[in-house]
Amino acid sequence: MLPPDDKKREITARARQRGIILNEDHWKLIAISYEYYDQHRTICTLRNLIKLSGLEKKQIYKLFPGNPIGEISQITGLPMPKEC
Amino acid sequence: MPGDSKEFPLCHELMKGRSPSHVRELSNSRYPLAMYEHGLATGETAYGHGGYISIPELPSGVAVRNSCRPEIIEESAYLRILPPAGGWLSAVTLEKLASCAETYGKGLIHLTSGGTIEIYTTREQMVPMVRELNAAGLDIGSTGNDLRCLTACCGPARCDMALIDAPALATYLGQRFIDEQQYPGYPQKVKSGVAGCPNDCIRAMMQKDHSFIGVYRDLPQINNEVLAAWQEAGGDLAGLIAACPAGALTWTGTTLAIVPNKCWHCMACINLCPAIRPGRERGVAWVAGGKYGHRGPQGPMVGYVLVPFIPVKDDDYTAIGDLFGAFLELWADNARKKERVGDFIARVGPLWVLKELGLKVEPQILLSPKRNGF
Amino acid sequence: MSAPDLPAGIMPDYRREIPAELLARQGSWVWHEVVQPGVLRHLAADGSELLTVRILLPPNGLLSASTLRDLARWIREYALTGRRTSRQGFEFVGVRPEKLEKFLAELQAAGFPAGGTGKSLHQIKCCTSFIHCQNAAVDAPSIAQAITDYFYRDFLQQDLPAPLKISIGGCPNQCGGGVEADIGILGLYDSVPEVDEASFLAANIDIGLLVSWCPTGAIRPRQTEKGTMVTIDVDRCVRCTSCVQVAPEGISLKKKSYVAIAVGGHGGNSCKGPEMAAIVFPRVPARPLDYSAIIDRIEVIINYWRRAGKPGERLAGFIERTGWSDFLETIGASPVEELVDKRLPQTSIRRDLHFRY
Repeated sequence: MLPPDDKKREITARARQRGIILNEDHWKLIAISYEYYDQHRTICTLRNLIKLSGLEKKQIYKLFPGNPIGEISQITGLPMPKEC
Repeated sequence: MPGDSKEFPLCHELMKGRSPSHVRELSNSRYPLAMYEHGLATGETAYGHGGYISIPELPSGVAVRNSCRPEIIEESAYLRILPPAGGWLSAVTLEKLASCAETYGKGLIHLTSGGTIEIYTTREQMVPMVRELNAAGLDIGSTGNDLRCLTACCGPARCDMALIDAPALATYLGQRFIDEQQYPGYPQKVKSGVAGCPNDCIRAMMQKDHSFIGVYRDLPQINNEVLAAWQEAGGDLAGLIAACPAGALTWTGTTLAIVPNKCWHCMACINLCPAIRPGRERGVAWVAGGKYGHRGPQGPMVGYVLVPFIPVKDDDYTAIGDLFGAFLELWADNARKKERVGDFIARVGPLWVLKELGLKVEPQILLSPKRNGF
Repeated sequence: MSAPDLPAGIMPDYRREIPAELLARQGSWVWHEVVQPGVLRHLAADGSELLTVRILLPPNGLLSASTLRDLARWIREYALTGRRTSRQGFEFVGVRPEKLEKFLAELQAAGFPAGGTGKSLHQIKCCTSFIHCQNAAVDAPSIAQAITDYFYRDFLQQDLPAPLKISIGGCPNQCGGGVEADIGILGLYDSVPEVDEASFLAANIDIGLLVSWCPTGAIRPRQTEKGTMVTIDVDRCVRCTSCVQVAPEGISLKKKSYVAIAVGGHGGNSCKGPEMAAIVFPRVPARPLDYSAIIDRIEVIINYWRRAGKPGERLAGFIERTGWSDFLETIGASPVEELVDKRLPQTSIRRDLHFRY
C-alpha cells in the first residue's frame, strides 16, 4: 500500500536529504510501513519488518542505515512503534 | 604531568596513593581531566544521557555520552570492541589497541566490567579506526539492544579445571551470531557468557542473561596414589572430607571414595586436592536470566538453570548454537519492550520456555516440588 | 576499489592471542598452586610447569596507550602472552622462570605490583562512574582507589582466611557488580526524580514503558488538558531511577547519593550456589573523596572475619556458620529494621523458630 503520488515525491525528497536514494526494496519497506500504520497507527518494529518483508536484518540495515525504523519514521513522517 | 595540583586538586589527590592510579592513566592520555574533577568536586557526574550515534556504516559498537560542561568537551564518543574470548590479549593486540587509541582516540582504553574493550574517541575518527581494527582481526559491536559482552573464562589453555573449551564455544557462538552482535534488533540487551566449570570465575550465572557453564555428569575421579603423596606432603584429609558440602566423601582407612547419589557434582573437593579430578563425561548446563541491575520487577537475580546437561563431544557446538539461537528468537518475539531475560522468564515461567523450545524438564533442575495445589 | 562493507562481521579469534607452543599444551594441565602472592604455577601431567603473574591494574581497567605498550613489552620480554581477568586485572601467562625475580622487581618499580591471588584481597572491580557515565550516583573508581590504598598490604600477602573480592557499582544498574562480591558497595540515590511538565509533554515519551518499568508502581499516568502527564508517588518510589533512564528529557534527578555496603556475595557453585550479597550498612556517606565511613566499616568486617574465620572459609560461609545475629552485632551493623527487604519480606524474615541468641 503506497501513499499518493504527491506524498511519494515528498518522501523521495526527504530520503535524498538524508542521503538515501530510494529503490524498489526501499519502497517495499515503505509500503509495508504504511500498511501497518493503517491498522496500528504506528509503523512496525524491526523484528516485524523483517518478518513482513522477508528481507534479512542486514539488508534492511543496508537500505536504511544506522537505525532503520527511525529512518523510516523520519522519511515517511509516520510515528515510531511504541512496543519494541 | 598535565594539569597541576592547583588546577585539579582532587584528581591530583588520587595520584598520591601506593596502588596503581586511574588518574595517572587518565593524565597520560588526552582525556579531559576537568570533566572528572567536576564530578569529584560536585558529587555529580559531568556527563549526560547519550546513546547510539548515527554512523550509517556502524549500526552497533558506537555510542556517545553527552556533556553537561560543553566548554570542556562537547560530547564524548566511544567505540566498543568485541573482546577475544577468555580475555586473551597478546603483545601484538595490545600494541594495536595502543596505536589505535593514540591515532584515532584519546590515547585511553577501558577494560569494561562486562568484558569488552572500549576506546574513547570522536565521531569523525570512528570509521577509519574500525577499518584499522578490522585489518588487525578485531571488530566492534555489543551496544544497543543486541547480543552483548560474549565472554568466556580462560579455558583449558591455562586452567586445569576447565571441563569444556569455554573460549572456543564463545568464539563459535560469537561468529555464528555475529549479526546479532552488530545489528541491534532485540527488545533489550542480552548478555552472554561461557564458563568452563561450575567455579564460574566469570560469574556467568549471575551477570549474564544467557549462558552456558561447563559441567560433568559422572563422579569426580580419585587417584589414591596421588592422594597418598598429597597427604605425605601435608595435605589435610580431614579438612578435605569436611569441605564436601554434600558429605559425599568417605574414608575407609586406606582409600577415599565418593557416595554416588550424594555427590552434587560441584568443584569443592576438586579445588582442594590434586588427587581428585573432574569426571570425564562432560557437557554444559544452560542458565538464563542472570542480571546485576536493579531495573525491572525482579531486580538483581541469579539465572535459572533450564537444562542441567547438554553433552559436548568432539568440539561440535552445533546443538548448543541451535538452542542459543532458538531461545533468543523466542525471547525476542515474546518479551516486552526493555524486558531483560530474567524478568521475561519470571513472567512467562521456565516451564513455558522449555515447552516452547521442545525441551524436556529434567528432574535435576528442580529445587523443590511446588507447595500449592494450583 | 571501494573499501569493504562495514561492519566487517569479525568475531576475534582468541587462538591468535595464544602462541602455538601454549595452545599445543591446551588441556594438559592437572593442577595449579599459588607459589607466592601474585604468582600461579600450573602443572601438566608430564610434570612441566606454566607460570602466571597477576598484577594490579588501576581501578576500572583504564589504561593509557603508554601503559598498554608497557604490558606488551613485558609480554615480549618475560612471558608468552597475556590476558585481562574478569575482575579488570591483568595476567602474564607463561612467564619464564629464570626471569621471574627480575620481572617482579620491574613490575614493582613500575607501580604495577604482583598480587591479588589466593587468600588475599583481589583486584577491586568497579564501574566507570564520573569518568564517563551519566547514571553514576557515586564515583566507584575513586572509592576503589581509596580502598586499594588502605588495604594495600592485603593484596600483596595471603593471610586472609580465603579469597576476598570487593566490587563497586556506582548506581542501581550495578555494571560494576556491587551485588556479586564478598563485599559489595552499591551507589544509590537519595532524591526522588522530578517531572518537569513542559519538557515532559514536549518530548513524546513512551508512557507505557515508563509505567511498566517502575518496579513499585510509583509512577502513574494522569490526563491533563495539554496531554498525558505522570505523577511520582514519593512514598512508593525506591529511587531506582528507571524513569529517568526511560525519559531523561522530561524527568530529572538531583543527584544526592550515598552507598550501601553488602556482604557475602559469591559466584562459584562449590558449597552453596551463587548468591547475591546482602546489605548490612544500607546508608553510608560517600562524598568524594572522603571515604573514611566506607573504609571503617569494611575494616570492621574484614577484621572480624580475619580473626574468627576458619581457613578456606569465604565470607558467606563464615556468616552462615556464625549466624546473622552474631555477625551483625559484632560489626555494629545498622538497626535490623533498616535491613529487612520491604518488597520481598519472605527473603529476609524468618519463617521457622531457629533462633540464635
